[in-house]
Amino acid sequence: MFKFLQRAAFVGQTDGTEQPVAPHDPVAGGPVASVHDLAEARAALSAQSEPSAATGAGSNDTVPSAAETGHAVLGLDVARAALKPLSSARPRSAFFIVSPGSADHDAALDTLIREASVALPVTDAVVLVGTFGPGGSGSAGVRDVRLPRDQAERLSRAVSDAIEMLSATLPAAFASDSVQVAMLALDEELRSSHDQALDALKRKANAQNIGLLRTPQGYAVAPLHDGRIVASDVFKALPDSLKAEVENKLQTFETELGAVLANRAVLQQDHSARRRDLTAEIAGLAVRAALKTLFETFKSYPAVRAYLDELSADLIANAALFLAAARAAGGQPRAPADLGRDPRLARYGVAVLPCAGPQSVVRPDGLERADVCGEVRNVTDGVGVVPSAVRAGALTTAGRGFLVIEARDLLAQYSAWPILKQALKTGVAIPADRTSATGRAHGVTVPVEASLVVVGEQDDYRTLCHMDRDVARLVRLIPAFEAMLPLTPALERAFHARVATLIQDDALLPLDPTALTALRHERTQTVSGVARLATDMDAVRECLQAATHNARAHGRASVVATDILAALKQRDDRASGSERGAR
Amino acid sequence: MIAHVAQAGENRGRVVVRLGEPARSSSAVLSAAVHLARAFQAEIEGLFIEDPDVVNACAHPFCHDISLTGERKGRLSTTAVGRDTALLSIAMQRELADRATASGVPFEARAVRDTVVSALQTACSQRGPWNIVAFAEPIRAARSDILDDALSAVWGATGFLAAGPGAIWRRGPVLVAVDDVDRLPGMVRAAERIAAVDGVDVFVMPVGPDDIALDWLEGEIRLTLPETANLRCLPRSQHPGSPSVLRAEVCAHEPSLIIARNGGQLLGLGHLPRALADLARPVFIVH
Repeated sequence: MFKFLQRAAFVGQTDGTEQPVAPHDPVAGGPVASVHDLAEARAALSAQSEPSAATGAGSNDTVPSAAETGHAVLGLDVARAALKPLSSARPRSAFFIVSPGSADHDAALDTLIREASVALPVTDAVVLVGTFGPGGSGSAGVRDVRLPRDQAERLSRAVSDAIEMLSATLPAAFASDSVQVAMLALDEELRSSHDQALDALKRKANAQNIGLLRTPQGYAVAPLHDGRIVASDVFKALPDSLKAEVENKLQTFETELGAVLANRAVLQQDHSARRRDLTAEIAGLAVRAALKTLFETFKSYPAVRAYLDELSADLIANAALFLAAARAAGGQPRAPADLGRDPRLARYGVAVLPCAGPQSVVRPDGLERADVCGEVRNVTDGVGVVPSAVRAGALTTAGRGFLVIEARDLLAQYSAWPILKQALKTGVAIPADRTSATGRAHGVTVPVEASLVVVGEQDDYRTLCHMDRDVARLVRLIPAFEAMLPLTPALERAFHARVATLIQDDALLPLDPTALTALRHERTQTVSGVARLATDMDAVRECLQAATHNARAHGRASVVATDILAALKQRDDRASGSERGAR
Repeated sequence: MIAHVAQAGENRGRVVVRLGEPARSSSAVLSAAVHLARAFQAEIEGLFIEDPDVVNACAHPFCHDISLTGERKGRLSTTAVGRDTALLSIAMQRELADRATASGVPFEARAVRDTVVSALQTACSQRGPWNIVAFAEPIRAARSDILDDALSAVWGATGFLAAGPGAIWRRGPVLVAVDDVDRLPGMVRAAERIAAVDGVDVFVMPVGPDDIALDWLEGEIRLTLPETANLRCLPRSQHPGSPSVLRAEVCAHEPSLIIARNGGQLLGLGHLPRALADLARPVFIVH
């Protein structure tokens, strides 16, 4: 009953059927709104009120409206209707919502924006994965992949599991006897090819009495006789012609020897290529086995498949990383926590950026680039930016919903506006990086789908437009909560109900009908012959508290008009006293 | 011969590891040499053999030292060769010494300038009653003449330990390849001593030229050796006469060490480098 009453209290303000009325005469009295006859007032209101289309009756089922909280603000339905464009906002829209900025209005606005966000489509989670340099040359940064949130978490876990598995299976594959023997056979083939060439040269030299010797640093050729190197004194005793002939032969063989030795570089090159191929073949088997389930699970996601292809290629090219880590661990299996801390493996991580919810309303902690666009942290030299180093900013955590900021905060930190504008225009946010000279991360962007909502007063909007002409073009102005609304009978009833709620909530004394009329009269102004009621209930609450104090001081059980008038006078006196003090 | 090793006074025996070839030592052979020394409670001697021909060549002013890349050519000097040889010797001895020390095996280092066969003959004749000669460098076809010469000329050696370039030392059974039943008890006793160090099994495998010989050998082995918990008689090969198939069958049992007769069915005559490469394990070669 009470919930319905509260909602009904605002119905009809925007349907165009109600007409502004003249201000009531406080002496003539008005609607009864004391706690004594509150039930009657509520019954009367509920009898003539039905939820209108403008209230979005269906939405109240999912998001509690401000009215249901018992703290409804005046003009809520006007605001709800005005904010309807939010529920069909395209990604990266921008709105300036005019609101007086009282606590009641802020709370109501939050609720209304949340109501609007429910109508927005649910979007996929942002998953950051590593990008890899050509030929396994290392991390080249991160890129985003979009996936439903459950699949995103699944991908992250599955890749982590695969890396953990590879840390065991890759070293095991290379440690197997057959692989070691194959590697050694390949090495031996290189050596044999080289040895055979040297052996042939040796046989040829021996046939001409020249010996080929292995020295600690290389090779040498020397005169040979009966299978042994000729002693120096023996050689000296030989005829000069023979000595010259031997020396000529030595020179020839030295040249040939040099050529054979130099050819080893060519053989080595071919050997290296074949060893690399063999390594890739062995690593490929282990990597394909580890990623097989992943490929099957994500076969319907082309972006993930492309990432997995790159991941496979990088893992195969960098199998040595796993082998080195296994050697360092003494061949023992590495704990997942140890793998997680290994900076060399960090680029294989998959980070699912947090999102406040599918349809979110996020107020950032601050307006620095790091607060809005996120931040890259713990960038390790030589490793580059890895997925886990990226912390999401408010633009990302808002998902497809709304990033809400106060106009006065934006004006106080105007440097945030170009950052926001760029993110809205380009659809990507560039995270902050404190280690970078520009303060921005290089090669890292995070997709943005959230819309921007700036809340402030009309003057704030004008100031922003003055500071940047793009504001008028990019940011849609929505007057949500007016400071003064035309006084219709429905608004009058809503005002009475709100007063009754305040009295009940704050345990104040009930109002005499004359007091209520005096209060309403005080809150009403006539502009161009039309009575308008002030919507700020904070001032009403203050007045009611002071009036209750006055009534109790006079021993009355209810507040009368004189209490209200006295309270208003006290307020004015305080205000003028403050002004004098200030002067 | 093996019986001789197992029965002789163990503390007076040695494992002589031949060092000196400017090639990387086989890790499998060094490990196996230390293991044999532990099994027979013997000491290890690292014998660095310097080539006297290189020293002789240094005396010729027209001889040059050509670098391994063929790019540099310099005077072959006694000083430089002597210094580099000494450094090489130290490095090789240290590698072996580290392994021996880690296993608690007494180690002695020695350097001589002599031909390989002559140096080994001298080493084996100096002390007894038994010596096992281990070739630290992997045996390759191009350099197998040294092993052939040693097998035929170094009679003071009880056996030879050698391996091909792809050899691996890994915990596993000690496999005895038997083609002569007369040598069976001695070979098995030695194998049991070696296997006891790591608590592994001994596999006995008959190897013969044909089905008749294999059937007979298998029967004899089973008669001579009742199977125990640590001793297993392997079934005969189904492909007699094919050395490469036989070696593959041996490898399939993943032994740590293979004991076989020089010139026997497993190692063949004149095909030692190939056999060692195929077996991919250190092989204890007995006469």
